[in-house]
Amino acid sequence: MGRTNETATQLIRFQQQELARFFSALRKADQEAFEDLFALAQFHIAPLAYSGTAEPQAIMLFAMLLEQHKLILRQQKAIQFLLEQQGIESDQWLDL
Amino acid sequence: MNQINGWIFDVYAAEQGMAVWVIDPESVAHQLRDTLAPSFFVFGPQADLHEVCVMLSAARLPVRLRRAVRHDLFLRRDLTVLEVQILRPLLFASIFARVRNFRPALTYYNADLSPAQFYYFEKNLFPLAYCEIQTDAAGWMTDLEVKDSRWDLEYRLPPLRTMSVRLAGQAANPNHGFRGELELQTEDRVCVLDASDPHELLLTLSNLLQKYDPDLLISEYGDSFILPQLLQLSNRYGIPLPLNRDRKQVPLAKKAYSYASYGRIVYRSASQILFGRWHIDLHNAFRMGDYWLDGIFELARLTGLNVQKVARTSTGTGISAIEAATAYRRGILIPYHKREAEDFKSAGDLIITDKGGLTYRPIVGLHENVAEIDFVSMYPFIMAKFNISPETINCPCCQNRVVPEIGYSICTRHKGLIPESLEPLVAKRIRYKMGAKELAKGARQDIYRQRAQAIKGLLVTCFGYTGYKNARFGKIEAHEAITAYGRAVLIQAKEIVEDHGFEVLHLLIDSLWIKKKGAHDDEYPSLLAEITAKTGVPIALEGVYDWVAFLSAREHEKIGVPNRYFGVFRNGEIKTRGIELRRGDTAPWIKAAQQRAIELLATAHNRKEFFEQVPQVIDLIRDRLTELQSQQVDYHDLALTYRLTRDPQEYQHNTLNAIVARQLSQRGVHLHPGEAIRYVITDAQARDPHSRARPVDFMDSACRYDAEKYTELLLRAMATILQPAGLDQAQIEQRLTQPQAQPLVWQIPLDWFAPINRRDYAKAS
Repeated sequence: MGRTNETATQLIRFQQQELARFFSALRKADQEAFEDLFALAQFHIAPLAYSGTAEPQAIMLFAMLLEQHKLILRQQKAIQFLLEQQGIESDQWLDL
Repeated sequence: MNQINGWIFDVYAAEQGMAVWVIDPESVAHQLRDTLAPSFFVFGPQADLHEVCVMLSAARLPVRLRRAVRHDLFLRRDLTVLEVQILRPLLFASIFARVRNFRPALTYYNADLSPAQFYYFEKNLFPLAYCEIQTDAAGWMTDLEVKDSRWDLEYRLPPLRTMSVRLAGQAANPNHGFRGELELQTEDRVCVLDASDPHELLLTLSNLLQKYDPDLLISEYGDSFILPQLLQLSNRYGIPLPLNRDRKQVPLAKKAYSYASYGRIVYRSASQILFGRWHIDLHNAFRMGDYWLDGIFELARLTGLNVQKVARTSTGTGISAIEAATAYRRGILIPYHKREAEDFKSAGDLIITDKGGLTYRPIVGLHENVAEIDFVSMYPFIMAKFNISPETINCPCCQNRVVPEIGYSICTRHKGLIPESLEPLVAKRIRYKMGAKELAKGARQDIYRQRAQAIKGLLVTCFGYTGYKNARFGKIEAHEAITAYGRAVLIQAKEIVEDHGFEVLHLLIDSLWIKKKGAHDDEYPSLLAEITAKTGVPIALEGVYDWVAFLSAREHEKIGVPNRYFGVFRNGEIKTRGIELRRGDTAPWIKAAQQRAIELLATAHNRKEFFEQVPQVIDLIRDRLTELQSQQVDYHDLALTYRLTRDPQEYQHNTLNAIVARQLSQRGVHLHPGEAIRYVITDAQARDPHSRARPVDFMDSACRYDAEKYTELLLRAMATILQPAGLDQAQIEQRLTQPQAQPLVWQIPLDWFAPINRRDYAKAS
């Protein structure tokens, strides 16, 4: 409730600030990817708050990983769909 | 012996006993007298209590002293206390102050209740209760029978004569420079009094008040300006002004003050309380936007606070009064100052317990066929159902560790003070809400809605007050237990809806937005019944949206903002939260334009139609900009309203707020933190700060506004509305200049955050 504890949003912001030097040394394109990753963590503020952990960094990484994994699954599905449309068997594309 | 039947209208301490005003069904006001001898209690070392007794006896004050035994809720035991009974209620506050100054370290109870509250408690009475009263020839009450219940849904109210008082012209703040003629309005006539002859003005006003004898004086800026000015004139010219019905009293003036609440500075202007007549200032009434007299009357009946007080105080004061009434009835001591410290917690405990409700980020985008389901009065219901109260949390008699997640115990032997106070309130609100749904559109439905809204305010505050450091019956552990139950209930609900194949788009403390391809309306009753049965907390369908748009944060386009959305229900009703038109600091003209744009979009029933409506919104923006850029917009509609966060001289930078506050101060306007100022941006880029903005009261028709700045504000508001169509501010501007732009295409479902349901997951992996 933010009486004593920081909110999940604040925790993520603090973590991002802690990596400020790392961020500043990144190439611009990598900086954008970095910000995207933290946006992925932002999406899961409620579960992060609910977890009640003293080490939120691990949860943040899991939140990022979770969304990355979802993205892979979704893209897998899209590829499968496109392959089916083209009439290509599931492992035939390896020979293309 | 006389019998008077009527409604309790006003109660206050008088020179002798209590003055009780009753209005009968023929609209006649009767002033009666009654006796009352309220007590406060003192606890401490025997020697100190003895010294208090000696002091009071030596001072020959009208008190009766005795030893009494009362229960302390927080200590969970009976205490032997000194009871100081005051025989003249008018002296209650002054005698208490004297004792407290004499021995400030002692513990005091029941000491900050008003004589009117004591009177209502003692007589089991409430404001606006219908009663049968017997009096003697001198007007002293000999018998009183209450023929009314505060828990009745339907009740009769006294026939009230109303008079409005305002300054003619625009409803601007006279304390900020606006002046106009004094305008009085009764049910059948309007009078404008000429202020150039104060003598004549006072005489006419005095005559009108005597002739019409209003029960209720409704004013605009009566508290801070009109009544104080009139009373000053009355003193200067020696012409008495019968603002009070009780001629022996003078209106009670209370000073203005500012305070911080939830990180915001709030300003309460001075108030003018009348005796035997009510005065309500439209600009100084709490939550006036949410409900009007029907809500205020309901609150007065429920809280036992006089109408004039309830209209001006926060709902926190109302819920405190209800809790105090329950405590008084049960013989529990009402702490003067809260003494309860927070229980010891380790850092690990704090991480687990110090959490609020669950606030998810919504899945950004435009969604079709979405149902919104809300738990009904979730926190109050949890408090009532699970017996959460300061004295029941972690009680010494029960070690059951029942509170989910945080493992607190709750007493199963004794009913808590808070649940006892809340249960009838929750039930009454639900009955009003259900009743309003069943009633046809009209006055009765509106009354039910106002009353339900007023009770909602009490219920919401009741939860907040358990965690408020100054609340008499607050205890942070109770607050933590409520939110813990709330989280458990929300997560359980989420699991149930997902088991039924729904996607959860957004969850916010006690509400869920869910959708499922091909979902039918007849699925919801069984879904809701299952959630209610499994969680034990009732949940209801707020409605099904044709479409709803969850909006993104400024910092990242894919991150949604909790509680920032707009949508249209199947019945055509529009719902908006967190966007410009809901904000108090948006100019009325921009609000109106955004509202109109949403109305255009609301004719769409799905995503496809939504996109088809976008060109019409672009046309609307073009029209509004033409009007704006030709200086045709009335400057009143461009006024921005801001609340000052500090004294004007404390502002360090030249923000528009600071510039305007300084302009007002230089013209002799005394501003307070939390007070609202209204201004128009005249030239945001001007080198001279004073030319950038001007208080709306100093504007005239010759003044020009900054069309460029307002264009930017309008486009920003419109970009919010068109965000679901993929248009940002720059793209809107492009479309304004190129009407033949490419038609919009449907957005592909987002690459991130879109939920993967279990079936898809199985297939993909």
